[in-house]
Amino acid sequence: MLPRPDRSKPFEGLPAERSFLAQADLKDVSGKLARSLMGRHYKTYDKGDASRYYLCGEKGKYSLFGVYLVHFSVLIILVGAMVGSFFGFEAYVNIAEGEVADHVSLRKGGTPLRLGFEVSCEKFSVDFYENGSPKEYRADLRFLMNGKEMETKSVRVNHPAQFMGVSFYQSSYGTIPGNKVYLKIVRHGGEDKATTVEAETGKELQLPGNEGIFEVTRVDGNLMGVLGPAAYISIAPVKGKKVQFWIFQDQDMVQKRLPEQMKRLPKLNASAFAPYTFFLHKLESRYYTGLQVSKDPGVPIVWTGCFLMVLGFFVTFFASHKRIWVRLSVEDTGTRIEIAGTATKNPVGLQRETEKLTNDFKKLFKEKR
Amino acid sequence: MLNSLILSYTTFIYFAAAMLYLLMMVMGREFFGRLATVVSVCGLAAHTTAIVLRWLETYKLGVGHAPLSNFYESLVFFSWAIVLLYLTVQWRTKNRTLGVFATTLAFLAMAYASLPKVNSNIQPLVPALKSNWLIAHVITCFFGYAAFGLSFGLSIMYFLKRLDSEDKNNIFLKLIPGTGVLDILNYQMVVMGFLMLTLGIITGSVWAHSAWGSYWSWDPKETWSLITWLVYASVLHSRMVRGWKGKRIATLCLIGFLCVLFTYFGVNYLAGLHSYTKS
Repeated sequence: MLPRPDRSKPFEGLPAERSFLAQADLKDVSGKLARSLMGRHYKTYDKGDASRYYLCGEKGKYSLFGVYLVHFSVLIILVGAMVGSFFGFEAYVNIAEGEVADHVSLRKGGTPLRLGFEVSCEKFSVDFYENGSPKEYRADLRFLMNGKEMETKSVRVNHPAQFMGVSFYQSSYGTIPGNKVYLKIVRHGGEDKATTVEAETGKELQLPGNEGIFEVTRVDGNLMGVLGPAAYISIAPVKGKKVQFWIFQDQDMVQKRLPEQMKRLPKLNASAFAPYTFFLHKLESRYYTGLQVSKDPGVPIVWTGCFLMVLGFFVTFFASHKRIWVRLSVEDTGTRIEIAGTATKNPVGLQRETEKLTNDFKKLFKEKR
Repeated sequence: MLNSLILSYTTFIYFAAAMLYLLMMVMGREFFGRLATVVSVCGLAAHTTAIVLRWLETYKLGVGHAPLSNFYESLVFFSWAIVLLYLTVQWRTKNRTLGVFATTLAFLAMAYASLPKVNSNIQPLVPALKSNWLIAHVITCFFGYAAFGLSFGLSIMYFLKRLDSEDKNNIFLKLIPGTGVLDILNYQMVVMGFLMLTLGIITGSVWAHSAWGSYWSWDPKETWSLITWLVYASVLHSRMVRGWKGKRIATLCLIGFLCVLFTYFGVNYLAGLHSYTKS
């Protein structure tokens, strides 16, 4: 709707310095003033006749739409969030060093989701500061399609990696036992003879005295959640039945925790196969990286909404819809010019603007009171 | 370290400023007000110096990061933002009465920071905090909190001013500007705080998106910042749409600041992703 220029309300209580007499005829004055206002980017409207003439200049009308922009932006953010929840997913996966994953577990319900490609963790590393707090977690990932390497990327906290629209974030880590098991085997009899052995799970080895073959069949980083690192030894003697038992890295702790069972159960007896005693020196440990895996096509929409919201705030709170009202009336000695202003915001700024305009107009026509 | 020493002096400087502003309000003597302003400006200068020194010291320790990384540093910055914002408002409005509340708030924040349970050591950044968004997120949030803090002070002043009447001869109440002026000023603070909080939440979201893999996780701090945001949004709506003024707006602003306090302090007692803001 166009503003009605012939209003008298803005001129009520107009200060004296906003009114002056120009020595020119109305037509001349109105033309010059309109051009001057347009030069200051005002949109102008006029109305009147040869004796009384109104001119209205308008600026910043867009500020009235700021409030709609803000509320529209909230809708956009909600749309972005919905797009994310319908067409995206949030999942996680733990990948040990050297291993490959082709599916991830959804955060909701833990159901597996096939990625359509494979990710492998080449290496995981943690750096620490001198005071012991973590400095950097880093996982070197390899992305494969049908076994063929497509890309390698490293993922750090705050520096995710993307592959085929899926983002990978470094979120946790841990260790799991590796394949190597470091054992000490003592053969009793006369003089004890100790041998250190680097065994590998599932690989058969000769006993030091050649009484049979043994194998580490299982390892556990923390047996039953409390007993610490443990290895399951299976011995196949040359003659006789198989002997199988657990050995622990911290034998004393287990002894203290389960004194009865240690005595009773041959499964917990490290000396179950005479004349040997097995000791677990160390399990090789491997890192695994805990990755947050997500796909959210709604993110750009959400960011657009955020941007529009901030833009809308600036328009709503700081832009002002300003209107300058000019009334020209023919008098005996010239044309009287009266200048008033209204604004939706920032009255001080408006005051300054009208003052400036009045001075400009006065310069256009040599002032005569 | 030097910065901590200066900061502990700053705490006392703000206390002195608060007392001087109070003296001005009780005695009605302009002299104390002027002195209080001088003391506050000195305090702010010392405060700024200490923050810059602390920043430099992180580089000497080889960890190099802006001093905005833990609870202690956030309190120090909160207090700094309050004083800076207050002195700006005082300079623009030529009125010192808000000073009592602003410097008291700044003093309380600094006093809290100097409690023994708050760790004032410079700590290296954990991986999650190593991001350029840290500075933008913390600065916007705390300027928002500071503006809401001043709005809180103005709301209290509003209720005090309502106790004033023609026949009362209380200098303190007489010195507080009229309720109309307080209302406008309060609105301006809420607008500024709201804008800053919005920017704080957005920068936080962008950051969370790259650090945690999701722009919004319903972490308690996120949830409470949203609640705070909604309370202040209701302040703006009730004023712009319903034309609410005065008492009702001031009450909403008090509630809003309680939400700010809970978002800042209370949430630390809940488990969440913002764990580094606890100590």
